[in-house]
Amino acid sequence: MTADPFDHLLAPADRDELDHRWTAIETGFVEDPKRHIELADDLLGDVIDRLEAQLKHDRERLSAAWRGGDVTTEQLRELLLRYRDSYQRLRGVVIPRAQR
Amino acid sequence: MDSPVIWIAIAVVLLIVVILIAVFAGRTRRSLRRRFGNEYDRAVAQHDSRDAAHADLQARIERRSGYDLRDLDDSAAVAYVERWRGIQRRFVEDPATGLLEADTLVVEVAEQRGYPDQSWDRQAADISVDHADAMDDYRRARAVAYDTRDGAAGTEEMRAALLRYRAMFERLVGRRVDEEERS
Repeated sequence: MTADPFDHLLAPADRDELDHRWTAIETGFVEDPKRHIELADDLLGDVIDRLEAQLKHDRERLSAAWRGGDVTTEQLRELLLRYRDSYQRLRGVVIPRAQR
Repeated sequence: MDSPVIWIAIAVVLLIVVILIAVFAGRTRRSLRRRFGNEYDRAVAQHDSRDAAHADLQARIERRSGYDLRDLDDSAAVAYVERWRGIQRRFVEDPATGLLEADTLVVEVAEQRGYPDQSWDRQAADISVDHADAMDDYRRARAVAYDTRDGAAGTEEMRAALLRYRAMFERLVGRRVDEEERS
């Protein structure tokens, strides 16, 4: 498994912001455990939302490329390769975890 | 005939001496108690007599006056605060180890400030001269930190102990740990 599969899915700015938040959560835990568990829960929710938004956006762009309109077989083939990229990226996130 | 007068005079002088000693002792006690707070009570409890406790505390003041204490410069203080934050983070992963790291870091900072790193007890006694109000926290944190080696302390107890160490850490470093957090 590569170092950080989310690298491919989140923009660097998002990633930095999330990392920063996470570090603050860990640092602050000793101060107020309950509060920081809540913040961790929020953070995870945010990550999920952002990933979902990003993934849906990517998929919509691919869909739009072949739905409605004349598309050659060559174009379909190229699009299928892009679907494969997307699929494999997600698989990279999901599968290794299932194998643990 | 005049011998009763002499005896009365001697009695009066003795009485005055006794009163002066009592006043002086009372003043010493008040001043030490004010200076050392809980640490004063602790010393009294540890020694056989109040006089012995007073001698101990006086000796600390004496010893401490021979040290060349110094403030940390800004960059050193910031670096220490950064290390402290690292300990707070690692605490989540491994509380017992985090607590021992905190113990070590406080000793290191104290040494940097000019309290020689002799035995822990000796250094703590020296620190108590200047930071008596954080001593109780410091000693209680220490007790928990060394309990954890036998797995005796629970997580919540260790968390509280880390904050107690922090009270002393902040006194010695001269700044708050969470000040720069909101940048």
